[in-house]
Amino acid sequence: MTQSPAEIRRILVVGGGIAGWSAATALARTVRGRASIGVVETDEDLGEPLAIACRPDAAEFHAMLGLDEASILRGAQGAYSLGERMIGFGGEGAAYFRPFADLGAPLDGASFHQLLLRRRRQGRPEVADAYSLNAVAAELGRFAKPGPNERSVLSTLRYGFNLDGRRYAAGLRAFAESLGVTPLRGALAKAEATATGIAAVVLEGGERLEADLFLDCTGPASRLLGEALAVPVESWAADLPFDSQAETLVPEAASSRAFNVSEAAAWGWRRDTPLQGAVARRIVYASAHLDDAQVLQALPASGAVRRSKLAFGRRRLAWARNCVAIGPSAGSAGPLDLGLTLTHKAIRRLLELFPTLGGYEAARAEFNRRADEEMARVRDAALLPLVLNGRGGEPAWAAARETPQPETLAYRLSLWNSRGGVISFDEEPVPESDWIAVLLGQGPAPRRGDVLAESAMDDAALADRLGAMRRAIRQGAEQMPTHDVFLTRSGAAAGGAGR
Amino acid sequence: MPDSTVRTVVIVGGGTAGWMTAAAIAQALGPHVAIRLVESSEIGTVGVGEATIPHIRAFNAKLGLDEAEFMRSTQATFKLGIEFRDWGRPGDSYIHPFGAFGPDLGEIGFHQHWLRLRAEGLETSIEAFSAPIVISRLGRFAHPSADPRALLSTFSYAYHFDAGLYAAFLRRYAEERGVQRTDARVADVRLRGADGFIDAIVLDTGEQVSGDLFVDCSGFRGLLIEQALKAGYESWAHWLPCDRAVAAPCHAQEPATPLTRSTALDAGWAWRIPLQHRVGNGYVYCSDFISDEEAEATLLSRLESEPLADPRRLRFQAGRRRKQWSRNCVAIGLSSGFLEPLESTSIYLIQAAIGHLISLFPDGSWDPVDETEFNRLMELELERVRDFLILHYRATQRPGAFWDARRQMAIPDSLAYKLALFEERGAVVRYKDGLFQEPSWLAVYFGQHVSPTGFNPLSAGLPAEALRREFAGIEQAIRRQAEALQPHESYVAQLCAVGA
Repeated sequence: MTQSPAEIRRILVVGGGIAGWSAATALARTVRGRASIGVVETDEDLGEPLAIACRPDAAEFHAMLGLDEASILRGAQGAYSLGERMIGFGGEGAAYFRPFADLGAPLDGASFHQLLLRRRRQGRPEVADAYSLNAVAAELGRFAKPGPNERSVLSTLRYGFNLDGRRYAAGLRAFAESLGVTPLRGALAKAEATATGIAAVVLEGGERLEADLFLDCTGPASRLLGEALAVPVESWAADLPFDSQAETLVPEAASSRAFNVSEAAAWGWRRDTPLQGAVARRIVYASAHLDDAQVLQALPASGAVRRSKLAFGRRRLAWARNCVAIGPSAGSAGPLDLGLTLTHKAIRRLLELFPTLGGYEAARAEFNRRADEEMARVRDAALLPLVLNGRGGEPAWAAARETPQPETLAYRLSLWNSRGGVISFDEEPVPESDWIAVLLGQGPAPRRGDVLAESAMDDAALADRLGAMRRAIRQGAEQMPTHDVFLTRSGAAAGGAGR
Repeated sequence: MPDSTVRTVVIVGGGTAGWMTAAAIAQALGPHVAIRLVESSEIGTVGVGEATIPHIRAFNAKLGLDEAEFMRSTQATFKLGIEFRDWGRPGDSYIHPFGAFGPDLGEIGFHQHWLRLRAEGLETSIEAFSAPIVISRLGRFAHPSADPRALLSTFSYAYHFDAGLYAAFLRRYAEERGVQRTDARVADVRLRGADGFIDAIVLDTGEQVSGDLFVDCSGFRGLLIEQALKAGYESWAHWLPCDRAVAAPCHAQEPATPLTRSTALDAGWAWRIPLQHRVGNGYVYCSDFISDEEAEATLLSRLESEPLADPRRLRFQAGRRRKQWSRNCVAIGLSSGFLEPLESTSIYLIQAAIGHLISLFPDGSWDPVDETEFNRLMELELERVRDFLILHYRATQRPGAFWDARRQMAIPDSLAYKLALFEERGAVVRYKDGLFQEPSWLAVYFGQHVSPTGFNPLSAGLPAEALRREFAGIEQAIRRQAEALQPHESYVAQLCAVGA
């Protein structure tokens, strides 16, 4: 017979930030007073960027917490985002859009990207962006949320948003406090490790905090899991020529864009993440090809600049004994801006597999198996635009093309190169549509056609139907309001309603 | 079309696998490939399946089949799940339904809350929270509601049908779309010297049939994939030792229920599949524990009426062909491997192979990536079904030598892992590729008394009284709505009435 398990009564989240406060909030909503939840805000570098790029999956997490999206955006200078413009990765002057939505729609049982590849093989310069309402709307400065009518092209929209990281964390913190979470401030002196895990953490002031379960949200340093429990990192950073990053906040009075931009340069790339009234700018670069003075020119920065090494890898165990790493302490997607998605996935995984006071080996093994697979998939996705770069005469990018490929990435590319095939594995955090966008945008032309796409319809019919799709998308985009108007109407404008 | 293309597909073997393959390729690739199917009217087909799972509806929909016409033509009935009798213990009955147990209540799965309430004294079976179980136990049926908010939208359904009639139905469909049928036996398979590809098959009429792609639907013997190409066979008999079956149809003595029935017996298990015009019956057994004669006698003694035909005997070995796709030959159906029909997966596995073949359809360059990817996907499919089947044999308290041995056998690591997680806290391992998802695993775990020692402690975050009220409300709503539905048999009769 099932026993009522011995419940965990004391949970301590070490390290605040977005990972820590998100975890504390989600737990507070779920345990509802049956366990105490404390958050120690330490002075660690949490490894969280100035601007948080939320993919569409963030909406689900916020809904689970009961957070209103417009007020999150309002409080964190948020801007909506339809995807990312990628400039110069395929080669100097080449550009494409990575939408948060599927490209086109299957026709007569053939997948859409295979039909585009068929047209390209026939010498038609098909631009994938024209078949994405997300991409076309972004180009026109428009934004809307998906429409409810499934037959309308407006239902194909998918969106994410960008948030000011500091303000977003503060908002989560206030919400967590309203749910009874206790914040404590103090620098972390040490964590006491025993055979059963962490017994307590000790602050610089001498205060000793015990708990049953510890969440390590201390950023890349991973003070608990990494330092106290000696769980090592498996780093993939040395595979990449790009080893450093710098970021700054640039005020921008002009109207906001509803998409991010990554633009490649000889030394790496610059990524702009628009917020309301500002742009967070981050460069990822090869320090061998960009010295400190050049970093300031490359950004360019007028205000404070934060620099760090580019972390890329995973903790060998995301959960060891009674300590679970959430956020950058568990791993970093390196070149890929996926931190919030990974944080949210880890929190939901923890809720699903939440431990008791004893006897949770199977749950921990399953948590770690999934975390591990997820990071392996992240590694593939992060490397994709780098290994497929078409930039000539630049040593860093030439080296990027030679990055050692994990077996799974090599396998995926062999399928693409042969027949334009795209697959996904278990625990894939990046949707197939994103792989298709990058492969169509900067990948090589597959050696042969897909038989289903080749035989789906004759050339004239295909041209007609693609033309109709492009027109419907353009018309749909033209009906949408501008991003600024949408922000105001939806109550998400900073300084607007609710302030 | 590019020059180096596959223009001719030769399918060896009719039956369910052969005609499903012919129909699907004709539909997807139409006039671009010529399809020739060789079958001998002298060789019987096994007639696998008869009981299906909901995926078959996607297959039929892709072909554009009209449901009523299909059901009329194949004497089909509806199916909401499988009833397992006497599996966990003699006297048991549980249903593996096509639908989830209860609605999600927040982040914690419904069954976790049920486990918690059970620990606090709730006695209601989890079956009371499954609409398809309650509906099918009452012998009722209705199509699921199209309104996603409706309680009766939360399930799916499949069919029982006469596999021979289904093959005939698809044969007409395929022939109307240009598939050429030849009635002959295959006398010889000729391989190309250079690369070992199949060049042609030689028929007993003397005719040589050449082709670009060969699909082996010849059944257990694997005429092309094994006898000619020596793909090899990985036996899973140590996990699934049932190696024979005996089958006989009879007339129904009760109204057709929307359930396949599987009853555990001394040396295996018996199936009962209600169709419109008859009931399919069979005994799947392990020949180490019972003789063929005894098995046949057992089957006949269990029939609800006189058999309509002489009992037919079948032999098989659980396992998979090491390469389902080798060179220019793809094995579909029993030629690709065998898993006993305990969970009605035979037709699903045919369908999965057809789907993967069409999406990885080769061209004349025969790039090995197609073969590799096809084999990877089918291996996942087969292994995940295999683990699920083994669970039925592992989790049982039945007495007897056959069942003692099942309880004591070593199981695959992949299954041991899943079981450990469930036993610890009632959690189910999820995966993207592969058939059975959480509700299926839960049905068998709970149905066969795999009792977790714990549950998700976060369930305690919901106040007990409110949760009990919520549960009672769900239970009542399901029962009330199920009782308002029509009996399954009259529902089928109405749908299939000509001119309806």
